[in-house]
Amino acid sequence: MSLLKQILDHLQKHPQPLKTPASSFQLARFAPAFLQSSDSHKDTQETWLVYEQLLLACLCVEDDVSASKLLHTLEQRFGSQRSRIQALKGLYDEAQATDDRELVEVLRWYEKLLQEDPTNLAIEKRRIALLTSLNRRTDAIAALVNLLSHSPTDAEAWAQLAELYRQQGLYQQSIYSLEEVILITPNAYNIFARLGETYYIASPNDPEQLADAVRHFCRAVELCEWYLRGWYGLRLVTGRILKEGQGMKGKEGLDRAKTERLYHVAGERLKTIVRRAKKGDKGWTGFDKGEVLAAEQLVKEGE
Amino acid sequence: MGLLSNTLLLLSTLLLTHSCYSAHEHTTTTSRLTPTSLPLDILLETIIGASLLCATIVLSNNQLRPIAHRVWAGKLEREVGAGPWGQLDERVGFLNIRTKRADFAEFVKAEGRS
Repeated sequence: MSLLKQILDHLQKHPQPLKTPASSFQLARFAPAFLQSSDSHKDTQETWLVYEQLLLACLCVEDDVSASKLLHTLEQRFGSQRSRIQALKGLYDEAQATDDRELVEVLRWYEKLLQEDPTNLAIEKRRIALLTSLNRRTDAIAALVNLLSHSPTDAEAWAQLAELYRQQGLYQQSIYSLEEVILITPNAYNIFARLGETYYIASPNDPEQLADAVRHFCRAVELCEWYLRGWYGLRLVTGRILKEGQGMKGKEGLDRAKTERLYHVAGERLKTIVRRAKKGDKGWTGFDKGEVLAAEQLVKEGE
Repeated sequence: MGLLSNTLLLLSTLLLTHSCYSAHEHTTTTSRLTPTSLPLDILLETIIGASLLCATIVLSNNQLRPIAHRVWAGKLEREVGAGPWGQLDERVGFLNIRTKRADFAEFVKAEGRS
């Protein structure tokens, strides 16, 4: 199998390569060999996709030599005026910066580019990311709200806004942003799970909010039958409702009997996931080990 | 694609082509004044050829994916850990490269210690 096919195969088996340092490293170790091979000189869409993914992975694992070579080839092929290439260059500069002064210089460069071309979405996003990195969260939120005012169908931006609000403790605004993401991508079960989690964190003692959390988790597992976070959330919140004995009577559609049934179904599903993931069955190796252990812990607590 | 499925595909294509050619020959050689319907063997050959072709194509393709969203997404989650909306969690456009590098440095330190 050619190296390009190997890397594409790896990307298909690991669709979120930058999630953990270990997974970034798994991808970045292909970079030196790829640069040496003849596959890196092909001019196909797949090659450039691999270039971009390898560049991001190399920057995450501090392999700056390979990263600069990959970036240089991309600049030569597409020119340094393209917004996507400018964003990658900005990312590289941010990674190389050693102190806040250099980061502020990169920020100035982003603002200069945005003055020249206010429609440069990639650079706007990089500026917001850099503001967050510099701990200027209120500026980041203001900039993100500005981005969304002229680009309201960007689900990624709404999801980022939800995360920023959540970090600030502004849960109602976070819920609003997540609902905007749902409007754009109605089948995103992971966002339903996040909604459930945010409702639960926002008010763990309010029975109405807990009922809404349960509904969101139910929708998440309705859309994806083996979504670990969905089942975990469902078990957690129904467990809390049953334990605290919240006044669930009369709440439309969610009485004690239903809550107990949901609690048990979630427990069964979690047990199946834990059993099969720990055994390492074929087709069950995609779960995160930490999440599986947490699920095992939760089920044990409930027994 | 296995040898058997390839052979069956070739056979069914040949049958279908032959039946179409025979039907064409039949219509051009019989006179207009005494119309006869298409002979039974040509009909049977067409039906058998077409159904064998369809069956072979469907059965030889084992890349079929589940139809129900809940089953398909569940399959992706348990096999590769991320579904089609993973980028809403990862948000690469807003990647915080400094925290990623710091995490990696810690990871290397932890690996070095163990």
